[in-house]
Amino acid sequence: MTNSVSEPGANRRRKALIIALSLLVVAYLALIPWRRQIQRNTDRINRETAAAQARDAQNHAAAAAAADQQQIAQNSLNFARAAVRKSPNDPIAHLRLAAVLQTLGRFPQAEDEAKTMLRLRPGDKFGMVMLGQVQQHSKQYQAALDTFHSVLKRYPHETDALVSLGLMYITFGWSSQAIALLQGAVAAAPHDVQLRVEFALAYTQANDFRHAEQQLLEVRNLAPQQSKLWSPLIAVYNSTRRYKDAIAIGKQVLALDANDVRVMLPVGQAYFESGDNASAIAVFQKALTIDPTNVSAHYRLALCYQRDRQEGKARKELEYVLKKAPDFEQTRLLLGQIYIRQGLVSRASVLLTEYQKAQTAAEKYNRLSFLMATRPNDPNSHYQMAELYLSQHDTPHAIVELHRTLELDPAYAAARRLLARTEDGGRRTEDRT
Amino acid sequence: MVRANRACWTLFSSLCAASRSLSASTLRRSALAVAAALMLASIQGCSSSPGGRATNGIPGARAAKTNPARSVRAHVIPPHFVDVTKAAGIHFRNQNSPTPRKYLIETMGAGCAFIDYDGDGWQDILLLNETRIPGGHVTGRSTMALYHNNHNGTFTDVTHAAGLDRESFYAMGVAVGDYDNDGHEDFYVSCVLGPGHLFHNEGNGKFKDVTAQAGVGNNGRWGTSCAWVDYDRDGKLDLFVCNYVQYRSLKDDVPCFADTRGHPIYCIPSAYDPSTCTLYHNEGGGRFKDVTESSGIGAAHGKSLGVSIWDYDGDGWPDIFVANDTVPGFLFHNERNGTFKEVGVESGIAYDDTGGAHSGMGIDATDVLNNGRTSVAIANYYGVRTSFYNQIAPGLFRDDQASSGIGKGTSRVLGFGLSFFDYDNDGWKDLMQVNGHVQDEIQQREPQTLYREPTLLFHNNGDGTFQEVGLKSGAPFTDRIVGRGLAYGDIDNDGRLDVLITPNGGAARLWRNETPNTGHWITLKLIGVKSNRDGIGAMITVTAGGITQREMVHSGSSYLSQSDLRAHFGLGAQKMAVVTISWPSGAVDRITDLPYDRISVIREGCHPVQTTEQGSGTAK
Repeated sequence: MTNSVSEPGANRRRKALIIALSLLVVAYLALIPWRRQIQRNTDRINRETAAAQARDAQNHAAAAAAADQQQIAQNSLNFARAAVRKSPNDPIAHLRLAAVLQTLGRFPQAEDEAKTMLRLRPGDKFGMVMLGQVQQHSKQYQAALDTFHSVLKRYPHETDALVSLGLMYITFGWSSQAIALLQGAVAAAPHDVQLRVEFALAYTQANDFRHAEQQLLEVRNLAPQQSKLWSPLIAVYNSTRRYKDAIAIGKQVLALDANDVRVMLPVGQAYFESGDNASAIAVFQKALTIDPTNVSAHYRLALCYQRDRQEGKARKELEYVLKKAPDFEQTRLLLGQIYIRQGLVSRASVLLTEYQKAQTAAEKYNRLSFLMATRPNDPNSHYQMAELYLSQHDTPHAIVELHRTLELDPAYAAARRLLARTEDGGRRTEDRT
Repeated sequence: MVRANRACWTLFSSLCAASRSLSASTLRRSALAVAAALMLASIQGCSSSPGGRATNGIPGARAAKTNPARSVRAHVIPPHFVDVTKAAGIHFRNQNSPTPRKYLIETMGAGCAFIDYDGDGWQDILLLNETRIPGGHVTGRSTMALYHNNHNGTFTDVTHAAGLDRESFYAMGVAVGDYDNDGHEDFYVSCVLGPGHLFHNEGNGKFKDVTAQAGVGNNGRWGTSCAWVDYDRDGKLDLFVCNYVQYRSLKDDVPCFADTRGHPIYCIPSAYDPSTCTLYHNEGGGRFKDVTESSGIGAAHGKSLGVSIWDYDGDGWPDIFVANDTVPGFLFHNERNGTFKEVGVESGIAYDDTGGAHSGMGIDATDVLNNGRTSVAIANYYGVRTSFYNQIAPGLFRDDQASSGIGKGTSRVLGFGLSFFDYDNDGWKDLMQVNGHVQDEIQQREPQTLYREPTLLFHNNGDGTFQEVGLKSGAPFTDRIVGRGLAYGDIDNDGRLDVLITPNGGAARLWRNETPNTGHWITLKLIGVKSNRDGIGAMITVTAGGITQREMVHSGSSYLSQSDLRAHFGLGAQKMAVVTISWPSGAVDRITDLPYDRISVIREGCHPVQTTEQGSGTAK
């Protein structure tokens, strides 16, 4: 009976204990993410502080450089150098100085400062990202790749490194790698609009416009007022011949910023492609009232005039473009053809010969870019691209492609030999410099 | 055999089997044709000059952009085409052997041809086919097919009897021409994954594969459109073959993916190295010599899909227009010494009006504006618009796709076969274009883009502009197909040009032209004597009612296909026409008061012209 009397009491105690323990467990479990959140927030605050400081310094220097205000730029540099002299062991001071130097285009010094910062605080992600960015800007692409890979090995979700590395992949034409890289990044930080924009860019490069559109629409949902971010939707719609949609989006964006020339250009293009030449001309003319030296607007306006058979006006625009952007080969073709029609055969001949010469290389580049995008793991495509880069004296890109070739096929003897020769040549050039 | 001094014949359509017609419609049409056939008329004023070939090109004096005499029609006659495929007894299906792997060759389609293989004056039909490739699917045997025209609106499959039921090659393009001048139409078939094939017409209803003896295998290259052309005017037809990209076997196929998950799609031409076209010189005796390099053709690297032969500078020597896919188009100018000079860029035809290279598929060049100049149309990729070039000065072209209305009308289709022909006989060549995307799953990725697309017909307004009239007239234009090959020909000899279409992986279509109230017409079947027997390369000028039309008897044009070798001219309300024929030999024949609404067979150097009933036997 006693047992039978005491049993309910024991049960109650046991139940109370279980409940208490359960509560503790729940509380502990609940605290884990909370603590992680705190940690993340702290980390983020630190990162943002450092990044903001570096960004401020960059902006400061950028403003100075852009305005060509030598004195201000010098002041900015002096300020950063003074900070380093005052606190030579302060890694942030070195980081700031590196940022200023990078903005001013003094890459070797910027690299030194970034490395000093990393000596003082080994493995610091901001220092590593800065170093990677300096290397990228100084065309040490392979070194930059290695640096960003190191950052992401330690800090897999480091946004700046992801953005920088993703952009590098895109500029190399490695859209598959860019997509693979950014897929995880966007999943980990779904509200990061910058990542999504870059993700869309990678999809666009891979001609996967449906996914590009999805990403940009999501960006618009997340940041409806930041129209610049989602304005690439216009280009995506143009690429898929959805000109009405492109124009509609363009109107939305221009309603937020009526003077955004970068948006006007694809909107004008949409009008042009859909056959509304008059509206296209109006858009490009307006763009030129805002930015009279915009070469792209001049070029597109020339196309409109040509289609309207206003050859004199088209010629004038194209001659301007050729003068301001001589590397844009398409101008030579169109202008050359106008010259032929106007009887200026010798002038035309020069332009068309130059154009055809450039086209041969361009065609090869396009083919290899496509192959790399569709067969990212084919060492031969990368090797051929390296050869093409070398033929155009673009050693930094060639080195990247050769490294990639060997990554995919370490036994690729020709690539190894070529890499050795190329790097050796690069070193000798560097020594001479 | 008729003696050589029986100089010139004018034969009218015999239609002797009209009474066997099966349907009321066919009977009506046949009866009409019989009536036309019975109206024999003597030809007056035939004259011939043995030398000094007429200049056909751009006479400097002709400044008018279009012919001011344009007054044939004040309004557009809506086209009325009827799909008679089944009723005609044609049960052919193109089998492209689709695979999950998605090889590029699956997207290309195969050509079709009108060929009068038995010389009875009635157009028979040849349809090319592909063959099974590893992992691909075909139903039953996949062979080309030859259909004999029964003269009553129906056709009979004579493939086996003709010795053409071979299923071992993946065929692409076809060109019809009597290369050995024996009076029987031969044909060449270009292929991928193997050699091209030359079939000699044995004259007894059978064909013999003479590729090896002739030496025209094309070295295993990916041949596409092809054309017979007597480029050196020696009286023997030479052979021009477009080659697409470097692709000799399926191992050369580049895999492409729609996304990072590895979903396969058909790859784009940019992934492949370019190739060069092939030119074979006819050495006589059934042998050909590859003169690609020595002629200068081999110096131009492209990705060629379409070829059109036309003498654009009027020097009497045929030039060659080539449509390239994603790289600049070619214009091979005939240098009159056995060589060609590629002048695409300087002539303004290599690129479209925005400076972009065409995704060129089909091509056709002729005098569209009746102004003595040349116009060229090139079908393009989806969203790129069909280019429409007009010759604005000697040797100089301008893309007028926008001002002509052709560009806007083609902005949302992916064009392949296209041809200029006068569907309503108003004296102005109209433009038909068949369409169909290359990616069979395109709609899943781009919901606004269709895989199967409608066919377009642009009516020539005679003032440099065109208006689309096909879609407005409904079926069969609105029927969505994966259009590839397109050829025109008059299957019932009623003077209205009918159409043959080969969709990719689908049933061939035969559309009979039943457009009412069309204008008068003449059709000329040329027989060369000193020139090649088909008269290929002869420039025909027809003047009626103040309008001067020009047409060159030609092989090639469109995409992978061969149209009726007879030259057709609409006359509108006119019943009188003056015809001048400048033969490749240099001889010029001038014929006045040619009877209208008739098919006339004209022998080179006709003195005097004689007439006989078409279909009662080929003029020999």
